[in-house]
Order: sequence, then structure tokens, then C-alpha cells
Amino acid sequence: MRPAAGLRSAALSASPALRARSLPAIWSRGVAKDNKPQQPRFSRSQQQPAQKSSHPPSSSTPASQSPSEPTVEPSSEPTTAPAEQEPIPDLSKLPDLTQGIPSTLEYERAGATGRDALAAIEEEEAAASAGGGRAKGELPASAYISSTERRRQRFALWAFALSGLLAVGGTAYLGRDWDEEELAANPQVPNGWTIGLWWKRAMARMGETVTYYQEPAFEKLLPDPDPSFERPYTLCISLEDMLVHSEWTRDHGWRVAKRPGADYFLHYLSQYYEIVLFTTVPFATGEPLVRKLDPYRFIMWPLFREATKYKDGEIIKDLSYLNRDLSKVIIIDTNAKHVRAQPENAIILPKWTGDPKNQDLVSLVPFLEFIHTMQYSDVRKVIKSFDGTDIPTEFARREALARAEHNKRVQAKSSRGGGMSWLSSHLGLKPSNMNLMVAPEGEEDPQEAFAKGKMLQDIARERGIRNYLMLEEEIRKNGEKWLKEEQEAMETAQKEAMKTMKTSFFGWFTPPEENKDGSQNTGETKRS
Amino acid sequence: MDHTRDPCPWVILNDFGGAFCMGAVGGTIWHGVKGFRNSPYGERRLGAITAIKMRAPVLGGNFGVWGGLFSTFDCAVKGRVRNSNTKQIAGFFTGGSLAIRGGYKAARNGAISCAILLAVIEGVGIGFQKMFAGATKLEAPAPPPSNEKMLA
Repeated sequence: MRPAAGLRSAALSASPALRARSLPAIWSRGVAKDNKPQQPRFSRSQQQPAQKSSHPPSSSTPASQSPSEPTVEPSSEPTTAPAEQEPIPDLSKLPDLTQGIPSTLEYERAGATGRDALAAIEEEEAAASAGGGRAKGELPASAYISSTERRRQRFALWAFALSGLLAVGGTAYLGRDWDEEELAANPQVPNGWTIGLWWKRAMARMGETVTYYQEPAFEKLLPDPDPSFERPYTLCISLEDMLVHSEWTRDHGWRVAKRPGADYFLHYLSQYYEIVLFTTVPFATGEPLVRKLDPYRFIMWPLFREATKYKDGEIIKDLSYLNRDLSKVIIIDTNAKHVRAQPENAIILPKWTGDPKNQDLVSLVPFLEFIHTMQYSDVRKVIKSFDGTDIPTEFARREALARAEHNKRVQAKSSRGGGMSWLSSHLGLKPSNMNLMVAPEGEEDPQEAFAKGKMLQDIARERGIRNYLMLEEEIRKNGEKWLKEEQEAMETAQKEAMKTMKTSFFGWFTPPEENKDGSQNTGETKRS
Repeated sequence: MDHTRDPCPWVILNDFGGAFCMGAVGGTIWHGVKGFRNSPYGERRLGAITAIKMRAPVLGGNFGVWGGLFSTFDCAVKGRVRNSNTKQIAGFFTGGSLAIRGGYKAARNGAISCAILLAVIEGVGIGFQKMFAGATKLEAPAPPPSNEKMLA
């Protein structure tokens, strides 16, 4: 900064001496306005001959001298420098710029640009500028802010003020008195003009808006139970790491594996339960997966992320929205946190991580079948009695005990009876073998079966297996046809939708409008 | 499990590339138009092409750096906190670290505004999800296949 200023001042002060000669030339040309850009060119052209005449140009001397020149100048008092320079500029000290910009390496290596030296210079400058002259401190600081900056600052101030006003006004508006409908919904916060009440009403209204986004999308997740559909119990099952497991590898990307026995589980239990898939996966991700997993729709109702509740930063599957009697609902899940609203309805299985020999899910089937067979009035009590145990093993143990009891009773009865029944009861000592061998045609007489040492659940199991096999046979025969029919139906529906969309431009807006109506309706029902 | 995105360390690469492409394509359009308009007649096509070649990759790089940095921070935050609003936190760090050369104040402002921007985007996403959730409502008529009937 300073060396440059020094040079310029030197150059300028050099010009008065030459001005005597140069001025007439300018005036004679009569280009008064143009003399500013011309001046440096002019003075330089005049200067060079003068310099050349005084010293023969040597490349080494200016280079070595010139760096030292700026340091000399600031160290001698800057206030007096202009006065000194005014009469005769020492042109010999100026560098010869026709040879290029001189090197300052020597100057730097002399230590003049060390930290201490620079600090010393700065201090001096500060002292000098405080002393006098047109230094920076002369005007108030605001004078150095550009008008653009000032405008921006003013705008920011207005924006802040406006947003503050809006915030205050908005809060005040939120806290307005309830209308009659709202008053009925919020009896704990009365109307009134005190600030506290105002604030409470604002918070209540705010909370309403927030909960709208945290609640499940519908008040009733499932339609009302159909009386003609004779399954008293509802079985909710999750998707990820329960029925399927997805894994990612660098070579293949995402891949999804179906759990061994998942099909059997769904098909078999669909005769006892209304099966609901309740997953935290969003609809967009989960729906294609479900369609592929269960093309014949043994899963009656798929529920996705939209049906879950968001609370304390966690997703919850809240069964109270299910529109079913909770004493007849079982949910099987891998994550205890997801079912923390109704842990008494939940069976928690460990996550299935892709092991093809895993039997956790299938081994639950006898237990679930037993619940249906016995028609328990409250499944929560049953699940509670298995609390803290591995359900399949515990169930097998209890069943074995019951069977022993049962056999003893049958034996006692048959020993009183004839020898023939005694023999049959001996045959029935291995009922588990027996019922697998029973042909799936007709059903035996229950009395006869009991006499053979079968328990109620064995009979139910035989019937279940028979039904299951029939079902599988049906699928094998007609499954392709069903799928094709469904595909066709879907295609025609799609075509129709396309047609309506094409016929009117407004057809484009129909689906979102419908959705909006739906969400508004739910909002209204919630408020009322 | 979101199958549209890769799991964490790999998603950074993915996001970097995606953001780069977005920036490069957008930059092609933007600087193409700009180069075209700012060129004299007769050189407009050449001017547009030159502008695209010079500036579109740069814009892509800027976008890519933002995307990669954001994804990195997102993964880092996800590793630390089990929370759903990792996006805003990651945005906060991204905005801050990109503006850090401007000094403390610039970094603070950048971080806050970036976090707010991401929160707004997230909020709009939630709003849309809520809006379209109405379409997933289950209706009473039972599914068509006659399996259930047959069993009954």
C-alpha cells in the first residue's frame, strides 16, 4: 500500500516540473476532458527520456535500490514527506520499470518483512493516522458503509421486525377464543382474556396441528368386521425381518428373501385368522413387496407406515386404531418398541436374518391354531401365561403334559371297557404319528377319535391340514387363472383411468383432490 | 427398509454422483441459455457450447460436493443418534462447513439457513405423505379371489 502510494505521489509530483512544457500541448489539443487517462501516459513518456539522460540505465542498481526506497519513506515521517518531495523528486531512486518489475527478494531477505518489522510499521502508521491528515478515523464509521450495504441492512431490519410481528400476531390469533365446537372438544382450557389462558389455547391449537401429522391416517384402520367372514381372531404380522429379509451387497444391490415357511404360515392360518400385515415400511416401498409375496391375497389387509403412529420420535403400531376387539387381536413383531402401545397383545420373535433353516415362525403355528381351537375369550391372558418363555417349546411341553393326562384318562376308561377299545387306545399312544397318517377324506367321529387318544386340538389339526391341502390343490389348479384375471381387471381399470384423464384436462387433478378431501374429512372427524 | 437407497457408507458415493449429474444437467441448461443470450449473432451456438463446456462441470462439481458432504454428515449423524431428524442436523453441518472460509459468522448463517431449508423440504415431504395417505384407505368389499369363500 504504502510503497505504491509513495511511487504514485512521486510520479505525480514529478509532473509539475514537466507541466510547464506539457500544458500548452494539452490545451492546444483542446481535449480538456480527456486529460485524465492521458496524464500517466504523458508523464511517463516525458519521464523516461529525462531519467535516461540523468543515468545510464543499469539493471542491477535500480533493482537493489528500489526495494529499500519504500522502507526509507515510511520510516521518515510521512507527514513531512510530501513537503520534501514537492520541490524536486529524486528520480534516481525510482526503479526502471521498462526492465520489468524489479525483484524484491533481496529486500525481503534483509528481514524488513519479518513479523516484528511489519508490526513496527503498522504501529507507526496507526500513530500517524491518528495524528492528522485525511486518515480513516476522520469520518464516523458509518461513512464507510456503502449505500447498498445500508439498504440491505435496512431491509433486514424490516424483515426481522415483520417476522417478529407476524410471530406475535400469529400466536395471538392461535390463542383466540374457542368456537362452540372447539370448546366442547377442549373443556380443560376455558375461554377468557388472561394471557395464561390465551397461551394455553394457542398451545392446544398448535398441538392439534402437530398431532394431525403424528396420528395414523385414519381413525379406523380396518373396515368394520364382516359377520359372514367367520374368523373371530385377527393376526397382525410385520413384514421386514419377519416374512421377508432384505439385504444389500455391492454386487447385487438390494435383494429380498422370503422366510422359509412364510407361505405355509399365511395359507394355513388364514383359515383361522383374519390376517393383517402391519408394517412400518411406507406404502410406496411395501406395496410391491406385498403383491409379490402374497399374490393370492391371503393377507386380507395390508397396513403400512401411514397407519402407524409417531410418538416421542418412535413409530408405534397402535392396535387401538384397528377397529377390532383387542381381546381377539394378536400381533407378531420383531421390535418390542413398535408394539409398546399394546405389549400384552404382542408376540416378539427374534429378527429373521436370512437363515434358510429358521423355524421360528412355523413353530408358532400349533400355538396359534390352539388358540383358535379353544376359542379363548381373551388372547391377552393366554399370551401373558407364556410371558418370558419361548412360546413353541413351552407350548409343546404343556401339550405333552396334557396329552399324558388325557391318555391316562382314556386308558382308565378303556380298562373298564372291553379289550378291543383297550387295544385301540394302545394304538393311540402315539397320536402325533397317527394324525399325520389319517387320510384327508372324511372326518372320524369325535367320540371315536377321543377314544383313540386324540385330543381336541388333534382333531382340529387334522381338519386344518385337510383344508390346507385342498386350498393348495385349488391354487395349483386355478392360481394362474386367478392371477391372469386380476391382471386383466387391473389393466382395464388402468385403461379406464387413462381415458378419463385424457378426456378432460381436469382429470389430472382428480386423484390429489380426492386425497385432499379424504384427509380433510379425517381432520374434521378428529376435531368433532 | 428403503430399497431405493443404498446403505450408509455407499450412499455417499451414490449421492455425490447423483448431485453431480443434477448440477451438470442443470448447469447445461442454465449456462447454455446464458451463453446463448450473451453471445453476438452468428456466434450464439458456439457461445452456448463454450459456456456449457466451461461452466456446467463446475456447477456439477459444486452440487456434487454439497451432496457428498451432506450424505457424509447424514451417515455420521445417523451413526450417532437414533432420531428421525438427522437430515436437518446434517444440513446444519453441511451449510456450516461449506461457509467456514467466510469466517465464523458466515458459517453460522450458512448452517442455520441450510438446516431451515432442509427442515422445510422434510416438512413438505411429510405433508405430501399425509396428503396421499388417504389413498391407502382399506375399503370394506373383500378382495376378489374366492379362496376365502371356498374355505367357509
